[in-house]
Amino acid sequence: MIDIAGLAKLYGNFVAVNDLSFTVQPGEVLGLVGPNGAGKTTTLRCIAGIIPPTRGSILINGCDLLHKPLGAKAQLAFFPDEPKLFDYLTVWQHLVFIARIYQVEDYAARGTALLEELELADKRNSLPAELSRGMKQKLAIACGLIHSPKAMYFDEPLTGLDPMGIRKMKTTIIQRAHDGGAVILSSHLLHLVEEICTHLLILKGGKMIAYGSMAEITRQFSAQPDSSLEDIFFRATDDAAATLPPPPPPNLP
Amino acid sequence: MIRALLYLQYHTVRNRLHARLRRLKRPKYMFGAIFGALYFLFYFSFLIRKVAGAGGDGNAPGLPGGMGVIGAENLGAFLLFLLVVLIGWILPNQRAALAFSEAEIAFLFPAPITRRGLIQYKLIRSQLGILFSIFFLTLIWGRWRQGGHVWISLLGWWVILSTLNLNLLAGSFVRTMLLDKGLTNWARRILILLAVIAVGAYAIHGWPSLPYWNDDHSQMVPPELVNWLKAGLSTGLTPYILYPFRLVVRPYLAAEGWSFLKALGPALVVMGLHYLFVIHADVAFEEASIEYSRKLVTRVETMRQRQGGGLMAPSKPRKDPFTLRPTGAPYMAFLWKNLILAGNFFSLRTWWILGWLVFVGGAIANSAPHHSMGPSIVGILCLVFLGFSVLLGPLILRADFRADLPNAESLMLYPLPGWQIVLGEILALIPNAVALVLPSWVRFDKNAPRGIENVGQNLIQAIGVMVTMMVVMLPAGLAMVGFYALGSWLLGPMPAMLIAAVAGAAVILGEAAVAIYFLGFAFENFDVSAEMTN
Repeated sequence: MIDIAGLAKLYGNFVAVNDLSFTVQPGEVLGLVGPNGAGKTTTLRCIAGIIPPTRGSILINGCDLLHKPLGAKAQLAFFPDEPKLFDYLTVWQHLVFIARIYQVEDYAARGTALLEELELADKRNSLPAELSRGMKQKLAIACGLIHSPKAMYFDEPLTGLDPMGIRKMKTTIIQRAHDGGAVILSSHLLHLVEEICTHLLILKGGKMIAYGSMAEITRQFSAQPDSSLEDIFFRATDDAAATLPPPPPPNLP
Repeated sequence: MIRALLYLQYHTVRNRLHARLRRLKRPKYMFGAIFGALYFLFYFSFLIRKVAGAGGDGNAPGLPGGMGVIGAENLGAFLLFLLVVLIGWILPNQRAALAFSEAEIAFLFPAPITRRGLIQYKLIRSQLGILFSIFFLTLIWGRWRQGGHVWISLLGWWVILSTLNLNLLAGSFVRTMLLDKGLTNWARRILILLAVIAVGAYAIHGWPSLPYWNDDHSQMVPPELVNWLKAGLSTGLTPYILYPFRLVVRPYLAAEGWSFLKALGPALVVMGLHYLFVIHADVAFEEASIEYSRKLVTRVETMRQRQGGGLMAPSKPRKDPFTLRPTGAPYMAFLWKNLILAGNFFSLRTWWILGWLVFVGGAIANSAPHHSMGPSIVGILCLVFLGFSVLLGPLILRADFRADLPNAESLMLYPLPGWQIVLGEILALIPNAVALVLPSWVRFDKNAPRGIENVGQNLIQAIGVMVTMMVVMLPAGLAMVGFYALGSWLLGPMPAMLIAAVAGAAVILGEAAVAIYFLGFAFENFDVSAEMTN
């Protein structure tokens, strides 16, 4: 579904992403993790067609994003960490606008269902300024899902969500994967990645450190069979934090 | 603690200055700064020449305490000062609130800093604005060339503005204290007004009677009235009632160095008394300050949007301009969206009202006694309106790429060829072209840095729009002239005019189509990551 080969992005002499190759099949959720500045967001922006890569190929459901961008873009959705909305359109007007862009004939039914699912139905006629950070995030997600994309990229999807929103978001992501979508999820929240991802790609300094299924990565990097993803992450990235003792438990009464 | 706050203030100014100097390395800011500086240079040299020509008339006797007055305009300045102080005590209805930035509130309010410390910090910070203001006020009030006493004007203004600042703060503290004691805003206003009226009536009672004056339109204020006012202000109890106010303005009005120094001491005493009151007043300003700062942020953002020519995001949802079906040409979605942003500017009601205005205006002009002038006037007005629409319209209305490029990430995601997005956004072609071809010259972010460079950038952009407009219009103009000549030779002038108009429009349409195609190509190759950084 998502086939990336030899992806690189350079800014002058600075290499943001270097020779990245991976695939995400339908039903898989790939966790993209790495320390700050590892190149996660740049990778997502390149494979979403927002910024042109310096080299490499990107296939979305067999459609070349670089040479046939329209066909590829019609099948993907990118959810940035900061929701980008039009200040002057209401929640519903956003969906109407996006539906026309993606030519979604049954947008009314889909939109209503999405607003119900994301608990935005009562905010249908509200402007973004009237929404909380989490609600804006949900609206961005509704806009991205209205055309039923096959490839979905989530960049820090839980930012600003309340506990109920977090649970709903996890369900939404898993549900889309179960429905045959290929999902890439970039997050610093390793417990989230551990919970919902089937595969893992660890980046550091723009380079791929590790890539494979969760089981493969665990086998490759864990010292003990019950190692957490946090341990694996530090071991894989060779971070100084790996030598630190784990944080003490909270003082319980 | 105050040292830490001074450190914050010093480094804020220093770093801001450094950042602005550093960004001059980039051509868009360098050229912007040069253009902006030239603009201000020409503007102020014109202003200085103008006010220097107006000049002052030296000392005027008649006021107690050796207070010299330089002309009637300074009497106006004194009365204005008095009025500002009174208004500051009467009109405001808010509790005491000091303007802090959001960061200052976040870091300073929870910190172990006393209220006094915060007030002192605020007063020191306000000095920056005051210093900037005194420069402009001195410039505008025209004392650059009056005997070389510019420093008197600068220091005089500093005394006035600093005292005024303290007085307004003291007023807000007193207001809060009175509100806490149960005295409502209206009760306070009525009490102050009654006191002012009573004192004013008592003082004016002893004044000489109001003189008659000629209707001399060459003078804005009749000299007889000025002289009466001067005489009145030095009669009976009036000068003593107004004495504290006079002490404050006296240094500014001093004609030479020695009289300035003599006037400065008492003025500083008045200022010091204000300072002592403000510093020792135990008034809670934190809560109101937080609310005030929030409003300030919103207001500044609004102002920046307006200054940048941006259309305001509506506070209420706007109706769809037309029903947008889910299928069809996708660029229509952009038109639909931008019409929502443009709101009332492009509503049917606006065009209806405009149409009626033109119709009624034309009818009135035509029925006037000199009716032959009517159509000409309407025609001239239409031409002026057309000129404004073509040249300034695109700079004012930003419901296009410039409004949407902060959301460029979203636009790049859409499965549309670039030309369709450009066509959809195309309320204004040339500024859109600038946004795509020279993105670093367009201000996308409403929080982007501003200043003299920005003024210059706006000037360059406006000049660029006009030059491009001329270039674009040239082929259309040539086509119109050619077709008019041919048409008038073959068919006569009236049909020729119609043919020429159609030919000109066709050429412009062709140019627009070519431009859209190339701008679409530019959009497809637009590198968000490289271009959207300031």
